[in-house]
Amino acid sequence: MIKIGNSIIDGNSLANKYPQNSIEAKIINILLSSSEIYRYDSMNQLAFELKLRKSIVNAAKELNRSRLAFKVFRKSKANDDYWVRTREGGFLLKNGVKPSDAIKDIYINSSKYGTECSTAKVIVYYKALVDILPEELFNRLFPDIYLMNWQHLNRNLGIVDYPQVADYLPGDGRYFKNPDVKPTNPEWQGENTFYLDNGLYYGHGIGITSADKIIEALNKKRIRGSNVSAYLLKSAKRPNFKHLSNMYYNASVQ
Amino acid sequence: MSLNWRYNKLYYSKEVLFAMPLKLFRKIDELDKIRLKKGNNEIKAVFNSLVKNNAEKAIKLINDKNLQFTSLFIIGPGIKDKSILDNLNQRNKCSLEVIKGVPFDTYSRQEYYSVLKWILETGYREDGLNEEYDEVLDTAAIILSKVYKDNQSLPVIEEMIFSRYRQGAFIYDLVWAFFEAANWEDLIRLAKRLRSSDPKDNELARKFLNFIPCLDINKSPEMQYRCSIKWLKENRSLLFYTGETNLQTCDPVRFAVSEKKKGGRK
Repeated sequence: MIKIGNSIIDGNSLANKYPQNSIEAKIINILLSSSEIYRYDSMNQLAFELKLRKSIVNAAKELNRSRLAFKVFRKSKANDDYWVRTREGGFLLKNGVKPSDAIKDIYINSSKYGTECSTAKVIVYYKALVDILPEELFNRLFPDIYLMNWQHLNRNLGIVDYPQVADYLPGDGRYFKNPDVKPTNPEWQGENTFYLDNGLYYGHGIGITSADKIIEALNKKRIRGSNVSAYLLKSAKRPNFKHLSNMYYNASVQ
Repeated sequence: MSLNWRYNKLYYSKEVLFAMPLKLFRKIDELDKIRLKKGNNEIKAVFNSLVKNNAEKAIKLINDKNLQFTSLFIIGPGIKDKSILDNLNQRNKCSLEVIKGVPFDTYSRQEYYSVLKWILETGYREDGLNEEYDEVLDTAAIILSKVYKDNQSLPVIEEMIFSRYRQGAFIYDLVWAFFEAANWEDLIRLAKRLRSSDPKDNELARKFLNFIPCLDINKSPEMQYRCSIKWLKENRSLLFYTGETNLQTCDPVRFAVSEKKKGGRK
């Protein structure tokens, strides 16, 4: 169920705003048929979440098509026109570079970059925002990006890892854990993914595929003789859609 | 760690070496002395010269029981002479395989264990030598922790984590290795870091111990330490490892209180 303020939203009128089978329409259907009450302050706030979720899915698919390499942090690489590769293997925005240009460059000159799946996911969040926010706003919200797994996240992203959610939606971050990973391949101790649509996930290093296939890929990286399978955690990562929406609409008003 | 501990274990850094009594200094392998006094290039040159002029002595020195891993790491991969390679002891042959990343199936479980301990305990003082070296140390730490469940290596791993954090170097594989085998005593040791004079130590210890409810950045380091120790003592039997890591989530909560056990205790 969706509530805007105190009003329950009529499903048909909302779904009709988006093409049938679009990501937005599918998300709306999940929200409407859920036993959970999804509350928004305004229709704009809901529309922004739909837009950003779609943008996350698109940015994930686009990264999958790119030539971004899978590299462990020790061997990570970045285009030094835009980023400083730090000693721990992260990418720190170079002085004097526009954050929006630096994020776009990861997609434009993707072969100059290589990192692990957690950083790739953070890149997707930023790219999704670059694609929908006015450039000036993006650069104001994220002036000092540091890409290094889940550390150093900009507070305006507001990413929260919810231990359990009522419904999984396209654009949700999901984690596959591999408890018996081969100790010599710690990078495969889990796979950070985005749930896209139709039971498909994107994880950097594995690609776009089903949960079963991701588990199968991770199981191949287990310690010899192990029969403890990798599995999908119940948790879901979500940015602070409402905060970002407020930033977006406040900037539009100004 | 006290200076005596360092002497007893024969793990020397350059600083310790120069402050060392002559009697102990004599026990250090000659190759290590050359490396610590004159540097990495010199040890290679000296060893290569020995191989040409006195192969027997070269073998004796490199197989010395007191040799530190760092010296083998620097010299070993460059050894091409078959007679030297054939005469390396098991420790060195096995270590060279670890350096090369050969799968762990040539030697016995116990042999690997001894070698990994040797690599970590005699090699950790030179952590930061280069990426390859650090990677070997990380591998040794992870296998000791994950496969051998070796708690005794944890103080060394902890030392490396905090040292790297101060320098902004890569810590996450070591952190994972540490917590995979950590127990209550290791958490107590982490809590002691809360009152470190180095703010980076304090910061990292707080991140690791974020499951302790009373831990408040606004409190003094001493108060943070005291409340953590008290809480850890009170909840000792209730704590369990969650398995959360930095790869998985933004702010991993590595230990939690078991509500089930808590209920049973009431």
